[in-house]
Amino acid sequence: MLYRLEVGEIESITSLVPDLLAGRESAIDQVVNAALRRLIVAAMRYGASREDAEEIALEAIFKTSRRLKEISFTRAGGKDPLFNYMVKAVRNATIERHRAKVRERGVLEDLGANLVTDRARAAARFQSVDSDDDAGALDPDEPQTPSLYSSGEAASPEVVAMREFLQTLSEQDRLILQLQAEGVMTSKEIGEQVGLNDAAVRQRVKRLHDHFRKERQNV
Amino acid sequence: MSDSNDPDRENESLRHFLRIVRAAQPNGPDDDQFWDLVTKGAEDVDVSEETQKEARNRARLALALARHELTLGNYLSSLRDTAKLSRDAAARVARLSPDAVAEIESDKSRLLSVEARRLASLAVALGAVKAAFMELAAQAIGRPTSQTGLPRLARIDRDATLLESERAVRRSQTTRSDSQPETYLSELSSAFDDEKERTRQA
Repeated sequence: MLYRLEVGEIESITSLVPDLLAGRESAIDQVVNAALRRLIVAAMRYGASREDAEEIALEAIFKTSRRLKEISFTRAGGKDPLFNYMVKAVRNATIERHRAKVRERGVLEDLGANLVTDRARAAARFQSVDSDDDAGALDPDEPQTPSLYSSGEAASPEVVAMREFLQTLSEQDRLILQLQAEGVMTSKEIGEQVGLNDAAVRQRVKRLHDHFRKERQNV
Repeated sequence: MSDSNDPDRENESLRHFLRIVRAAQPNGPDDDQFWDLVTKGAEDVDVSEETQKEARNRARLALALARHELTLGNYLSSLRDTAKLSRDAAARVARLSPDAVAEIESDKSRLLSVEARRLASLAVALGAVKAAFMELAAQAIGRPTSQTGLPRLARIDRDATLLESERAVRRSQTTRSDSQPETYLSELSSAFDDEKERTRQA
């Protein structure tokens, strides 16, 4: 069954926390109705398959509900910290699931030192930007800062130009840039998500970099 | 103009570019773009009644865990009731005796003496959620009642009701597992995944 919900309903789910903790069925219904489909879509945005996205959304609902008492809603931030937290859980679960699949196929072992170097590079690159995101220590129980959030920089003309630039890109290019900018996944892992090899991902990022630079020079 | 002749400069330029990409990401729920990103295409996603029901079940289960209302025994017992499965049938699937299942369900069993693979089979057959199952199993192992050293004779007497194969498993596992609850949980986790995968493929 397809159900439609307005954004306004999402904005109110944090207010249901006391009712959830008390186990009120109506609160559980409201949260699931408001969040489930959006969490599935969020997982797909992070590159999960449709089938995996559903399980990831269910996992996020479970984890968030389990930790409801302990969640620091101040840290989760935003208008609706509960939903915010769930999206972070979705993002972490998507990355973890992807990594588990890669491990299953033994790809990580085969990559050996190259992957370690690549991951270290990714971590080092963003260490100064956001210390919350550590490529080597992703804790699925501790939602990290997802790519849906900025590092808090003011919307400078460059950032505004970037937002416009991102709008002109294909879904795949935008996803590659977002994941690369996040610094949590390696080029190889991003490639796995979008069906490219790591060299192609790096090449794509470089091309987009050149493209953006050229556009800025023409302004 | 490209900086490709100067690798250091080019790398710095690329880092700066990626920082801008990051800065250009929406600011969370306070930013309209956040909703665009999260909900874009959501209207095309069909969510089945079954999935919605499962989502409610998971939330309900997690909240009950948070309130410390569940034990491994009553969780498995309630799953078996929901599945309308007799104890004998559940025991057959897990290759345990009905008495052993009854002991597990009443939280009287020394969990470490139940073979991890068989306990995992039971949990998967009953449709347990892995995260909840593992949390409750860890609790059961750590619970004072589970750790109380029962007199050896009492243990042997209780085992007398078990299948011969179960007794053999218990004998071989008792010494090793008693000192290694973490190893047991690790085996349980792997066995759960294997069993789930086996069930999926069947």
